[in-house]
Amino acid sequence: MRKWSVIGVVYVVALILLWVYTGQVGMENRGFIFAGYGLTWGALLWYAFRLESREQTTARAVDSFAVAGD
Amino acid sequence: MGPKSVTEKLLGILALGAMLVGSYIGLAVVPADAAQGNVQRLMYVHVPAAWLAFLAFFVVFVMSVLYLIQRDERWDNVAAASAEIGVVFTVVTLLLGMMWGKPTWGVFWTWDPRLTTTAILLAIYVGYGALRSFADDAEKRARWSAIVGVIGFANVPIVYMSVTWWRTLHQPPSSPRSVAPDILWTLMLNLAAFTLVYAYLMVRRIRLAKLEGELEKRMAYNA
Repeated sequence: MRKWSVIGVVYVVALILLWVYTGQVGMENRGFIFAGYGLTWGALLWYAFRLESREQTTARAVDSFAVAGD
Repeated sequence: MGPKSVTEKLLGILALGAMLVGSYIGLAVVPADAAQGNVQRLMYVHVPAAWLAFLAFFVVFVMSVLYLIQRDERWDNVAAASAEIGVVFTVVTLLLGMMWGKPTWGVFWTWDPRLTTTAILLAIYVGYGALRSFADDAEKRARWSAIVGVIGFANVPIVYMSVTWWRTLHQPPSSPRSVAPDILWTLMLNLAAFTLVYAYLMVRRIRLAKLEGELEKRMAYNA
């Protein structure tokens, strides 16, 4: 899960950079553009994280039955 | 947990890279739309998310038909995986539409035919997921969800055609001839990136479905 902590930090840094960039170029409606791209990336990263977490939990449960069955 | 193959890792890296390049070009390289300005940049994520939701539900439909014919649990696993990913893409589509709708239409949400049929689409596949979690028997769960997967897909063409059939705020479908080349290739690039993300998530989600099936069998054996 350390990998996901790093990804989370990179995501937040990218959001900050996006906010700064949209401000520097004077993009109108920057709040909506920021929210839209932030949400897209956030949702996909969150889902990938959830898949990995569920996979690990399920794999542990399968292993525990294998041990109990031995 | 099954080992990740080199192909899967490469697919993940490729999907991430394509998403980064697609977002960068959509945000910083391609010029702003002449009519809508910068807010049109949301199209580069909104449209691919919507198309991938359609693709995901089409895969559910095909796998559901295959399951009903062959009763092979592999088809059920693929359908379940695709439905869940389709729900994620549909939620993203709706939220991005709201982000785009507010500055262009003045409201986040209105009961417009395209928005309403998309919300119904989301409700159908959330229901599909709920059905799967309610049914204890694996064979019944697969059969019932395959039936919902086939019937539920009927809403996808309705969503697509809603902007043609009814009077709507949402813009009609664009064709390559009506879109500027810069906008078109940026959209295609992002569409390819989202497709790679879908493929990567499918590989992960199908593996999880197999593990869940294995766990269910072991729990039943030990009961």
